[in-house]
Amino acid sequence: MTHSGEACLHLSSWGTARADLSAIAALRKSLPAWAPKDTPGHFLKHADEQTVLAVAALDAAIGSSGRPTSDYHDWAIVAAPRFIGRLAGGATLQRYSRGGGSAISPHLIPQHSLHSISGALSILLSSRQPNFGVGGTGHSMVEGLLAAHTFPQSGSQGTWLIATGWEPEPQLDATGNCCNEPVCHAVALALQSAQQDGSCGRLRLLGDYQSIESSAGHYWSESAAGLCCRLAELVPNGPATCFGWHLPSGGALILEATNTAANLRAAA
Amino acid sequence: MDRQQLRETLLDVLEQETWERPANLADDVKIREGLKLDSVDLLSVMLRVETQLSISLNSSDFEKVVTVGNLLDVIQAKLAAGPARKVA
Repeated sequence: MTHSGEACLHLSSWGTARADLSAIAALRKSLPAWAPKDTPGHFLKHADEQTVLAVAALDAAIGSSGRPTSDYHDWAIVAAPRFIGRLAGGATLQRYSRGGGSAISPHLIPQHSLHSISGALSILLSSRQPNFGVGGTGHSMVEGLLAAHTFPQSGSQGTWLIATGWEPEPQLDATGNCCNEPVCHAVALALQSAQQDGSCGRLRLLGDYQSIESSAGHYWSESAAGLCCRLAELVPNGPATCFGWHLPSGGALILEATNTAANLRAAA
Repeated sequence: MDRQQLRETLLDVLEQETWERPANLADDVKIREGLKLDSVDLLSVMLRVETQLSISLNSSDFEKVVTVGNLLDVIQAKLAAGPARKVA
């Protein structure tokens, strides 16, 4: 707690990733350099598209942090996907209607469910801390932020929040194929209770209604896609940009983020 | 289908499943460590093998499968027993 009615986590790093549906196939074959040496090359072959982008966003965030990956072995991972598995689900229903149960890939449940992203990231990071998915709905961004903010910090050195989603949502035709041009977005936030050197923002949980109302100039209720785009537009060493999400129970979450030269290098 | 032909079939299936054609698919290669397949990968491979060879495999067939040789033994035994019959 920083003062009455407010709890704060520090943002030590962040990263974003965006890709068209057509570009994701190539990303599946490029594991981050920090992945464990014995990770199979096909690790992302069957992964949900949102998992692939989550890995890219995490890679960008780790790159901008300037810290070795070993620093993150004791970080918890909270993933907040929006409507994960819709594309795979549509294709699966089509295959099932044609070929029955044996036509369905056994990868469907482990790769396209709520906890799939956090599980995959946990393996890649060799994390020893809990990982789980939250939300999964249209409100997954704020649900993820709240879960990450309130997750007990004891035992872990920090919490990764990875929020993902499509913009626009994929539209599936009668054969289960995507018939529009959606873009998949992911944003990775490194959150710690203690302020670090090079901190690039903070995430505050506010219970004070008046302070929320005075938060003019904030971007409110951004989805993962919106947050991803806004963060990517930040100029290096510029003023902090503020984002806000109202909580159903009252209060709000306020994210303040700045960009750094390291972020730009990681994104390049 | 002899064992070498079966091995080639398995190589094709593994390439489809993992993007990589294993350089060594000798009998003593371990499924998990040597081919880097987890249990879901192995299940997916077996579903492809079932379709390709018209045999029916079940989970109990794999309880003692550790190596490629074990896997080929299971598949050969199923082939020798004849094609799978579909349940109505």
